[in-house]
Amino acid sequence: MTPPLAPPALAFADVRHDYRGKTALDGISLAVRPGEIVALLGPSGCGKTTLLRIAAGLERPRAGRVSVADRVVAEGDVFVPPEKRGVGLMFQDYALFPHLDVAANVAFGLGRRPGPLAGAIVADLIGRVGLADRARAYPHMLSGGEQQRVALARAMAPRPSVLLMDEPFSNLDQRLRRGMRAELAALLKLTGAAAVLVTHDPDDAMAVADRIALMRTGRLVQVGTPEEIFRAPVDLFAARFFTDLEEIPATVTAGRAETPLGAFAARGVRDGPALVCIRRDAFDLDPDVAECAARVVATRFLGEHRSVRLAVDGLDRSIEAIVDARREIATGDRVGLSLDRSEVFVFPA
Amino acid sequence: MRRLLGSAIAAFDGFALAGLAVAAVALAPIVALALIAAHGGGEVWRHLFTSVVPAATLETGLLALGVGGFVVAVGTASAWLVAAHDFPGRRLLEVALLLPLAFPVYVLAYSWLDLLHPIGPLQTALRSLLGYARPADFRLPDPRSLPGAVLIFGLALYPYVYVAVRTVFLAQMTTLTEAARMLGANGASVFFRVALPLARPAIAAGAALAIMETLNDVGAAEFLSINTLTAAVYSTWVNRGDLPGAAQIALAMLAFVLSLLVVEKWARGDRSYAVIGRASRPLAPRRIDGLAGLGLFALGALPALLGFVVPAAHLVRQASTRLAFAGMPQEILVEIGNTLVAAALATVVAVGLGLVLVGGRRLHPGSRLHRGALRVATLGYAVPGTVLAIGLLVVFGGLDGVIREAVVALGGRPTGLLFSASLTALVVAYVVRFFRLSASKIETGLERLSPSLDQSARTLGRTPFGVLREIHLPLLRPALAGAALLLFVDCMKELPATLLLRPLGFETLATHLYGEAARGTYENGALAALLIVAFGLLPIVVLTRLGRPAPSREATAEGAPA
Repeated sequence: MTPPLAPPALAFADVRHDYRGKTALDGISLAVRPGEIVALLGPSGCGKTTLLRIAAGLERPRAGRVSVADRVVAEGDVFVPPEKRGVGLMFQDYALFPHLDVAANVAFGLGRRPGPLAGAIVADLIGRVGLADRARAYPHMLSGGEQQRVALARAMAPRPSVLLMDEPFSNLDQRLRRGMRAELAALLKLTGAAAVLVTHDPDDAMAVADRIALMRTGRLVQVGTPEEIFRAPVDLFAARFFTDLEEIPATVTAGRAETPLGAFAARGVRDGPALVCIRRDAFDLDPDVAECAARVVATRFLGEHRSVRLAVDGLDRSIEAIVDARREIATGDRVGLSLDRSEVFVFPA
Repeated sequence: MRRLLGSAIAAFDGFALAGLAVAAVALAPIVALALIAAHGGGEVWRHLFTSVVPAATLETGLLALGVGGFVVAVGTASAWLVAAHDFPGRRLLEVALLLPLAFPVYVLAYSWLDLLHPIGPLQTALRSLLGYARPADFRLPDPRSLPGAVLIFGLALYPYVYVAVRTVFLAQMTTLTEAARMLGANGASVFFRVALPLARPAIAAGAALAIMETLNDVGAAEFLSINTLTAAVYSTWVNRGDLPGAAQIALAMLAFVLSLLVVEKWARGDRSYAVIGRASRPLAPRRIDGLAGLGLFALGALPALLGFVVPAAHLVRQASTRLAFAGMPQEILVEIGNTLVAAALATVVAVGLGLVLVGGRRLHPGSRLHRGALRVATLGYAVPGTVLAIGLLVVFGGLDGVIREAVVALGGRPTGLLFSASLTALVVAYVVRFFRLSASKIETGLERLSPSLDQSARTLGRTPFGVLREIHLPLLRPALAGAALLLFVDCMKELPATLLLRPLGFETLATHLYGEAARGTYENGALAALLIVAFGLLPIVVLTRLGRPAPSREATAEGAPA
């Protein structure tokens, strides 16, 4: 990738913000490398949109420094207005200008000099997002997916060094969403611009981002590649955010947590009460190499998967396991249970 | 502190400058009133404040109370009638109940006085029907009394309540009414326990507008021999030439208006304005057919009949008689021209400034400077026309004096009146008085545009002014046209400020009508009155079309921070 010496395309240093005394950002430091796609991921109200708006210059941070390339755009009395930052922003509602057609929308950011060069840039971009035949259409005539692509083309037209996207997929239905994720990632890589996208959907983040910055209540919880965060969540919140977990109370003694499902290594967890968290797809129903036994209480067919509710011997509550749907299982069956231990995490309770 | 000052300086731009300038012009007449009022004193002052002002305040208060009661009762009842019931002719009635809006109070008073004149058409016909020979033998009660004034003001002004309340009933009542019915409430109890409390903010707002118009009026009160504060201000200046005295009464009036606004806020409770919008399904009205339905129609038609149909028909008849008898009078064409020029100039200025000030506030969210300037600039709506005109007379008089002295000091010949009694003065008065109308219409239009449009244009390299020109202006065209129409018609109808500030010999339709009525030569004013009513119908046409849902090209989604 890019050598570490190149200045980051976008950097936040200890950025703080509040709305009428209510803390929105509590000391955020994050650097986005040129060409990198970073997802700001978190539940609603965690401050991710505020951070995006601060990067765009639509919001002035209360403290801290924001820089674009090697230029400081916000720090103390310095505040560069949005129109002078060279940062593109794609809005959640796309914000297409309803009185301009597709071509004019895309050309908007090229300034008031519609020369042959601008025309060529616009035509090229519209073609790249697959809307060459819709250049004269008005926004209200376009479908949701088409509107999104116009918004993307418009944000990319001025060739910003950083492209910001606020919930780019939230207005699309599930099927369109899956297609657009791959398309967006490919287009972004083609332009070479650094990109920051805000989302509350971990699937969006994992499908598009090079790195994920997980946020909660105005702080960064964990920053890393999708795999790093998924494989090694730093805390219960980070683990819960990506998948549903079975959380089994346990007590840690000498680095080990004992449960009816077996004993688990609890590295870095002090002795005392803890939660053993198991991803639901970590279970395998295997009568041969069983670590413990269980009885099937209920099953439900979910298409690709099958959900199985199990009463585990020695555990006072039932747990849910997600298994291959081709596996035939009936209520009342007795099964053996084994676990993929890389999908089990122990956190202090 | 430094941060605050710094952000104020950082936010200062052309928008702020324009805002401060308009705010200063709006504030100047009020400040001038206070200054000049401090100059009055002595005997005259004692006379004014021991006899004139208390009597006028009492009469104004009684009139306001009566009009308030009338418009609340008639406006709310008629709105409930057409919103919650279905009977033959309901659609017609829905529109007909709006029509009195076309009549400025002074024109309605003028028409009814002519109609009810002892030797006018109504009483003559009544006498011949009852077999009386002479006017002295049989006479209807004189409308020139407090009850008569309450009726005539009320008939002209109840639509303010009707419009506001009907909007609430149409927009918010559907599911609530159905819920109340499901919980066992019958028609009357739905009205008193659900509809009325829900409509309370709208009723208060509508009634406040109607009373404000009552306080503003100068013509009707005079025709109907009611000695209101406005009339006292007017006559103290016009008949006595006592500017400080007029200014003092004007200040008393401002206090009256202020207390009215406080009462309105209290009557609205802690609720804000009624939400404007339409429910997905309209309120399902109760169908009433047969004789009962006919009765409802007749009942609902009464205010429209008395507030519009009868007086308008009378005006048409009088005007056509007059035209057939004497032809088109030459001076009316000049008056039409004068009216149109003054109103058009004021409209262009007010809409243009409205766009700059409202747009400026929107483009600087959180800037106290822009918000404050806009708020001060719209104060004029609460200042009755007479009060505003007296204040402006003081301002322009002072300005002319300063210019004269400056010119003399520089060795020139003394200049005359440059601003006082000029078209400029008139236009400034209209703009200050009606700026709120322009600003609120533009604000409503802007609120329908997602703020992300602005932000998007900013990140694509536009300055705030660029956003105004390239995004707001083209998208606001329908809203601007609507604002311009309303403003134009309001300026056309304006009487008190026009009477006081117009250039010498400059007659508009309104002042012409006032002159004829003041002289008692009613028949000569019919044509001018009819023209005013005809122009007044234009915004009603727009208003009724607004009720229909239109396919919209505007972005409505919100782009708010998380």
